[in-house]
Amino acid sequence: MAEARNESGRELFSCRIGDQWVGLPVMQVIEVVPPQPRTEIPLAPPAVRGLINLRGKVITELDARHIAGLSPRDEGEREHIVIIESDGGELFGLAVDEVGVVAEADYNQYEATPDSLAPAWRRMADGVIKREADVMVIVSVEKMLAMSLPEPDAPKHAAAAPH
Amino acid sequence: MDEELLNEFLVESQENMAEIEQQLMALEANPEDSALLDAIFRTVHTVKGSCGFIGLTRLQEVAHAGEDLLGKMRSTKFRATPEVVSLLLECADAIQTILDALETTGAEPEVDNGELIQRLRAAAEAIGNGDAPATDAAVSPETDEATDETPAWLEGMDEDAVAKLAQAGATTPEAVLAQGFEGLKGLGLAPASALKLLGMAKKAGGETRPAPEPKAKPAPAANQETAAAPAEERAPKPAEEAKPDPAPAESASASPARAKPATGNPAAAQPAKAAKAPTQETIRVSLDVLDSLMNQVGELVLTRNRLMQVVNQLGMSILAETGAGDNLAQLRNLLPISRDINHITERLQDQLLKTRMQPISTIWGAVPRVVRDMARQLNKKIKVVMEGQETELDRTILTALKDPLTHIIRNSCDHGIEAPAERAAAGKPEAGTLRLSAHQESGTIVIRISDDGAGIDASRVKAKAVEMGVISPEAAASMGDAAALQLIFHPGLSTAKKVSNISGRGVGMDVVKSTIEKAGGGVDIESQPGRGTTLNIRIPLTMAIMPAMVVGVGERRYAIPQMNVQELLAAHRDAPEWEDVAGQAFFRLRGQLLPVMSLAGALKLGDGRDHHGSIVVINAGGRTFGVLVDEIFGAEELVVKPLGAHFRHMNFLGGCSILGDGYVIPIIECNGLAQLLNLSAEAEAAVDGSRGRARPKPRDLQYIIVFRSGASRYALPMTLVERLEEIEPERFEMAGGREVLQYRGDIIPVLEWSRLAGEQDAAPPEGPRSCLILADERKRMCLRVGAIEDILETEVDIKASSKNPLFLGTAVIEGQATEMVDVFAVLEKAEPGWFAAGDDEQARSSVLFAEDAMFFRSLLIPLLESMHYDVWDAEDGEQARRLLEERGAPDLILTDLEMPRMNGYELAAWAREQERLADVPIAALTAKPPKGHDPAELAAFDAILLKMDRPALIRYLQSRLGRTAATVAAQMKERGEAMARERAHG
Repeated sequence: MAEARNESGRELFSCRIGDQWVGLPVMQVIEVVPPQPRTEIPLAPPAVRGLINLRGKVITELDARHIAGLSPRDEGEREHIVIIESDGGELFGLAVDEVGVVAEADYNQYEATPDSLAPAWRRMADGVIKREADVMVIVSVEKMLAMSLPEPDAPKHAAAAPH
Repeated sequence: MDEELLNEFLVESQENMAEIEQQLMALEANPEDSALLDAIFRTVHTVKGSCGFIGLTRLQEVAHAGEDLLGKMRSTKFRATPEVVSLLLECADAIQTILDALETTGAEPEVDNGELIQRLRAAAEAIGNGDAPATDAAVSPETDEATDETPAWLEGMDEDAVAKLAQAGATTPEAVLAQGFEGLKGLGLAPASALKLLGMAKKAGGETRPAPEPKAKPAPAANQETAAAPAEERAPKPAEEAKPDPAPAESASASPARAKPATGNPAAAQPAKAAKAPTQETIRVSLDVLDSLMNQVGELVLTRNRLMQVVNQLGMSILAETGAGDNLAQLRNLLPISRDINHITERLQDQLLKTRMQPISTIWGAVPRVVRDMARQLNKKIKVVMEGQETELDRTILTALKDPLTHIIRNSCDHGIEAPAERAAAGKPEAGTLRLSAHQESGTIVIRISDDGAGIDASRVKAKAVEMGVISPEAAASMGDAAALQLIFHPGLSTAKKVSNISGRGVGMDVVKSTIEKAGGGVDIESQPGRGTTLNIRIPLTMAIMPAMVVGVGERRYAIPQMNVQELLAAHRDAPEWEDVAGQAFFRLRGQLLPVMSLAGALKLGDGRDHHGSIVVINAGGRTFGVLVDEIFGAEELVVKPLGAHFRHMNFLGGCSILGDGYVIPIIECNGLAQLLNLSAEAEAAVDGSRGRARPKPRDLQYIIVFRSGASRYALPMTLVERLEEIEPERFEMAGGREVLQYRGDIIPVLEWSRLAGEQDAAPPEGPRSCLILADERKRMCLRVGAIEDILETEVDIKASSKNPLFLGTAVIEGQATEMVDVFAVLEKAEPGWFAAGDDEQARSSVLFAEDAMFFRSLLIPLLESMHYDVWDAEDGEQARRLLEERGAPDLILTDLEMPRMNGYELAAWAREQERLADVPIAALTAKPPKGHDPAELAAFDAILLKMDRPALIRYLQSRLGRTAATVAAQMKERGEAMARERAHG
């Protein structure tokens, strides 16, 4: 199904996570906001940075770097929050390092996800776009969200309480 | 068809139809009320007219048949009989069904009302044929169309609108079109009506004299005839001329149905013009719009906060730089403005919240009808009384409550209220009463549904439960009536075979309960055989808004639902109430040890060892515990928002909200939090262990009897006290140099306490003497004391030990120094060798007790010990299994069902596989009757006992382990408790 969508020629919203430029389906990108005051939630999955209040809506903010298995951002480094919408209609904030442009994806440059890509990128990729100097990973929002959720069989936090 | 017109039609028709049911029932009660009949006629007539216009043939047919019948009733002054009212109600239902389907699917449903229409016609004919007691029987059928003053092209418009048009002289399509939308509104027409009129005028404008139902498909011939005939007769006439009473109020009213009792004369039926005054002007707004408004206001609050901040900062800098001058004057103006904005914002938020609230009458409105129909079907007489209909609830909750309420009411009518003859025989009025009441009690709404019917026989419920395998016969035997009644909510009972087609006995009561619980409420049942049954439903005011306590831990804030908060305590680091046992913190609260978890610790925000701050005492999941926080900010009403997918597994969070300053605050789910405590409770074993087993040091609350002798005050545990007696002096006899008493076919030794205690011999008081009969499983003795003062439940904290072996020490009881009597020593003194070593131990039964919840442990272990059982105490199934492996078979296993590591079901299943445990009865202890469990799993248990039902537990233990004096003593203790309660209430 992902392939089928790729054929249909769609626009991608590009942003940088670590050193990797990725493209998010523009239909699922709502807006970009500056970093918001957030409420951290104890015992939440590690990719969750907390809850933010976006004009009266409570949104879960995720750290794209953590999902991609990258080291945390340095203190004071600039970041942007991309508000994305899942297929289920839930909004998420995705903290990324830089935002690019919305561009019609050039599917002549489309390639299936190469094996050389780092595993975390491979897991969330719907293929890549070859560009002049690099490749841009086409990120599936659903796959990325799935990676940020707690493992279903992970021990419940409750069981980890001290004995 | 035009979608907008259809929507207008639906909105209007739904509003009209909402009234008709009550009007019909009111008509049944007052058959002579012609104004009421007029109102009903108009409603049906309007529906019929409009649907013809939009081309809804099915709806038109049934509405037309109903209109005909109503018209005949009107013209012949027919007194409405219950039969006719039933028929008309059916007609209203059929119309409603089609309207509902139109609303959801946009098309008429495939329903066949042919048979209903036939019956309506037959009734109309019978009335028209002079079957009716009318004087005016000769009136031709055509005159039933009383609205012949309405111009043909306006058929279907309500008369209010027609009247307004006539007043303005705009009775032709052209004139209406000339008025335009704004013009029509200017005439006082509702926007909906104005739109509709314009549509009609446009259509009619083309054809000067259009067919009355331009879009109607050809209906069956007979129908077509009656439909067409009156239309021909209708000559355009000014509205007022023919009708002295335009009574436009009801049909146009857009208020949600405000239910009125079926009896009496509903206001809706009064055609008074005053009633139509511009009071109930309402419009419909979708919930989405309200929610979005809510968010906007939330944002306004945030913006307001920023403004306030800027204003304050500005004030600071101006003061610092210039000290005074023009700027300051400006600022003086700014301050009150920002304060005003603040207040306006708050009011706006408040009022917006109220828009979600609706009176409970919106769902009670249907009750009189349901009851009326059932009463007729069952040949019963039932009166409905409703109180507190104006009580408001969140719309979402109201919707959730509708079905459970209907179900309960049907049950009451069907099974509760008896047939008139039966009632008369029982000396009750023939008509039963179904009483619905609603009122607010702090943050919750209490809804009570009671009938004065036959009531429910608890023993029959028990028998049924046993038959269905829901509980064991033993559990049934030991179950109290109140607890037994709650079994009707058990799914095992609820799915019992249907008894009648109206409401199977108990069918769906489990669904009733789970639906109410889903909405955050609870339900219980009370019943007295012969007197009636009452169901009590408690439900939060709103699901959207939750009163909560905002607490702080470090920099973070959390909200704890007020519903779970019992009290707040200040807890200093070095407060003497802190007790630290094996790593678990406890806080001594009025003598009881309250386990305390630090919120920081539970949420891994620090080491949580800092015993400092405030304790929120929480009651949740059947236990009471303290949560230590740094700070308590106070109570707030929070708008609950759901948490996203990433938090689904975190059952200690119930949602979140946004505080006034924009901070997103997590809301704690206390049941989930209680589970966190559960696991860190291994320390509790140490607490129990430290208590020792040989002779339980008096701890926590126990029942003691206080007596006075000479100048001193003494107390002894009720444990071994079998009875208290007042005995005449002459009954004491001497035998073998000892004082004895003949007591219940026994000769028992008598001890004089004052002598035993070495008090100065005083003259024995006159008259009967107070005596304590002490007993264990083999022997009794009588202890003669000065005066019995009290039996009370108290903490016994022995301060000073005693050299006298007769005493455990001195305790302060109710502010007075009291010597605690070691009752075992007294018995030993009375009868050396009373406790022959070994003998006693052999006689003691052992009970394995597995329970994880501190609350129930502290409640039940002392009880078991006071019954002189050897308690093998385990904190979960796993520990219980180890104990059983180490120690062999106890005489009985008593286990909680829900425990960590190994639950009660698993423990029982394991025990059942062990040969040496084959004969050991296993009883399950549970806070609530278990539900949703496989009967096979429950079959492993000899009994299922309720934790809070101590008398039942004692009876069960006695039935299994034999009745001993100690268990008698435990029963006495229960009796003492009852006495204490009575005193407390007296």
